[in-house]
Amino acid sequence: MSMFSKANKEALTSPLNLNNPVVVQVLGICSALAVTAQLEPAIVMGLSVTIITAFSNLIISLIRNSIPNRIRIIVQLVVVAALVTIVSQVLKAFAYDVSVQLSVYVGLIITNCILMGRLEAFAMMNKPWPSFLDGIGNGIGYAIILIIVGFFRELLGAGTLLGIQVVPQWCYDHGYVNNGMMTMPAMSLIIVGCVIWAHRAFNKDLQ
Amino acid sequence: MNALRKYFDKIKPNFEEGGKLHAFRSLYDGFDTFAFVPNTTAGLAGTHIHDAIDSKRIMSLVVIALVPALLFGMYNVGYQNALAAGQLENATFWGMFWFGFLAVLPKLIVSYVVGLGIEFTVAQWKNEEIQEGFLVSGIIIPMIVPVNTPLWMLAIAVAFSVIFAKEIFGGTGMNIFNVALITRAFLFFSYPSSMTGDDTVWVAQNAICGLGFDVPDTFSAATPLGEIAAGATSLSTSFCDQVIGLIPGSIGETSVIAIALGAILLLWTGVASWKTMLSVFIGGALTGWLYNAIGLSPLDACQHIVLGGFCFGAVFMATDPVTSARTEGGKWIYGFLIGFVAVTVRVLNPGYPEGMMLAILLMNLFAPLIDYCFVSRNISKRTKRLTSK
Amino acid sequence: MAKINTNSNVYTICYAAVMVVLVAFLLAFVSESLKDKQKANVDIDKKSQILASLNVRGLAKSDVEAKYNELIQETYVLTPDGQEIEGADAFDVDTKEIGDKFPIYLAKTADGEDAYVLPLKGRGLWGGLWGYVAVTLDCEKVLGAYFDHESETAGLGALIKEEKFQSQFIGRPVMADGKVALTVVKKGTSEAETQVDGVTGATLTSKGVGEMVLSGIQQYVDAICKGFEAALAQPQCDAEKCCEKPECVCADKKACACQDGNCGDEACNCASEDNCCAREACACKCVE
Repeated sequence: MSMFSKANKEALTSPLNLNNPVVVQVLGICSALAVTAQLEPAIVMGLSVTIITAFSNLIISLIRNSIPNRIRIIVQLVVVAALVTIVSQVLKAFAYDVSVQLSVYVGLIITNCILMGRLEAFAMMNKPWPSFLDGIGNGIGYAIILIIVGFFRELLGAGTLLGIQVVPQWCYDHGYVNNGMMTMPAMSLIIVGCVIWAHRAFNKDLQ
Repeated sequence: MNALRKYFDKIKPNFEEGGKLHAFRSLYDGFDTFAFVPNTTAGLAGTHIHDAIDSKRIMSLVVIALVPALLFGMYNVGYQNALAAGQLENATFWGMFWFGFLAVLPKLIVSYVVGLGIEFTVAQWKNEEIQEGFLVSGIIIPMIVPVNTPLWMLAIAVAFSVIFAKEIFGGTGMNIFNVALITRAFLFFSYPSSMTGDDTVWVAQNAICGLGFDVPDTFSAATPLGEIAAGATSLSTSFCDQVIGLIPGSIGETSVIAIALGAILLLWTGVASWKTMLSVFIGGALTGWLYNAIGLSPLDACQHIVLGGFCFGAVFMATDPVTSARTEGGKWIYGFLIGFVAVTVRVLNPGYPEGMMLAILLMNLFAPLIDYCFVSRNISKRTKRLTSK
Repeated sequence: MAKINTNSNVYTICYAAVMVVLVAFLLAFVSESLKDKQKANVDIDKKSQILASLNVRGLAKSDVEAKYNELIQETYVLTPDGQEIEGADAFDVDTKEIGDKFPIYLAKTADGEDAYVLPLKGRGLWGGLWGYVAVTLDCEKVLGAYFDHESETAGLGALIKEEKFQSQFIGRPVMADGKVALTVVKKGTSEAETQVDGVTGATLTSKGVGEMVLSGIQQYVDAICKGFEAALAQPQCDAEKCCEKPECVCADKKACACQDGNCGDEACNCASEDNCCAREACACKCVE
């Protein structure tokens, strides 16, 4: 079986669109609301989740035949928790500002349903390489949505993107005001809703 | 009237299937049925209530009931402007009124143009008739915002609430939340500095077309509730002014008397439920009295009811037939809880001097649950009656 | 190889044990090896906040450490009654502990003026506030300020974090009538130089900052400014000759008094600003 057989490609690309974990399976919404007030934490969160899903999928897939069935959820949790802790420590050491913004949400990746879902549904019954690809695909599928939401929330809520002012001062001088509601989690729920709306409008078979 | 009817009949063919203006048929239909009661009514088969008054007529009644408060609001805008400029003795009644009229009119226009524009577009797109719900929302919206709200903010907020609070739920009659209040909530949370506070949002500050006065920059006027939230123990306005409505506040909410006129009309015609209205007042009064008695609030029950948007909310928004509880018993509970929550938010949350908006929105959410409880209670009662025979 | 029964109890327990031990070691290793780096990050964050109060803003992270070392001369930690805690570093005092301990930084501002940086903590509308205020050595004038918050409303209360708000404090007098009067009031109602304009629309956050500044600095002044300089610089003065040095004050709440009531050609006044008792002709000592 080649590295990028049709099935493998499917594992990588389907979560990006038709099987997107956020807009189709509606998983991982909690963190999508919490960390998307700005683009940078959204990107970092997306990356972190991608790394953790990919490697936890890989590790679980590698040891899938040796895991005692009765404690398999606990084993999965331990693997995920260990990876999350490592990522959170690395962020604290090398990206302190972002880790402050993400605060508890890095730790809460453990509870992100996408992770456990992929472990149970895919990694436990597939070989390591497809599992790894599946993890990457789901992580990126999640990251894309976070980035879209983060883009709109930062642009409309703070007038900046990645911390750089994009709404010109001219607009503020003429009475433009940033939309404070965009910085609240409630608004990201509505934006996620709009993304789902647009996504379904383009993919008729999902309706 | 006849001429209008004839005109409608004349242009009708243009909008029918194959006519050159067929694309705008919903627009035509909307205006036609607004001006004239349609000849077709619900079919005789099935269970329908047959009444000469259709929902467009009900909406018109509410709009008429809102007019006193709107007119007084316009006058008060001018009055507050003159007061703040210290030119009260130089201002005439009509000068103040027309100033207020000019300040409020653009908001009214923006609200209707944006809201109805979206409604017409959606109706056209979905091949539906135009629904009439926005007639009332459109006039309420300018009345529940501060006079200094920029028009572009208002336009965004109206668009947001019509789309997200109404159309996505299925349009008029299907919305969970009161559309006008969602507009205000959107403004309140999105642009807090233009919506709350003790500063300059409540009083128009610049002369318009030679009417009114320019107010000095250093001036600031708080609503009575804003003063209390900022820690004052007594108010700078007299109780008499508060009842008449000569106090800073959202455009249409200040005058208890003007709102009472509207309330009489609504109750007399039976459009609004007296149970809901009364229970809101009871809830607010009891809660206000309680907080006052235990020393948490310097306002007594009476002032809690008179001040802020309490009356306006109780009369025009809590009684919205779409979003309020529909069971008779449920109305009591629904109304009471609105009064309770509104006063509780005012007293206990230092960040929000006014709680009426949040209270009504919260209870909108619970109205279906309240109804469900009452309906199932009735069902089980009747079952028992049946089985015990 | 015989297939192991992965469902047996023994296997399950062994598996769990081995896994837990492995993961524990791995995590301990990661945490240990990154610890210094993480601590450095937290410190740099705090240092850049302190520097902001000295009007040094927008530094690159790599420069913070050097600038901090350049500007901060010395740090002290005082107890509420003005005693210095020996060997304590103000930097190690957590914001939460302010009130029980009073950390003080002796520093120079960006313009080279001598300043004390006083860390403060308070409460805003939704959560905690903290800040650093740089004052002159006599606690009379503000040289700079920095405030931050946990969770104030974005666009309103959160504006206290902006330089625009903080720079209003620069140059303001701290004291009026012998008491700390520096505070924040509603915009447009400022009546004195000590009253700084609040953030429009954020009455309660502004009030929180005002109270934090007012009562916070007063606490420092109560605890310290009375015995400020002596307690810091020369904590042990000779009981007999304690007043000989201008920076000395008496310990144990005793007051300085001239013994013979005469300083050469002019009357002795221990309370006078130039501390006449310190002159050789005078003999002051601490009395009850």
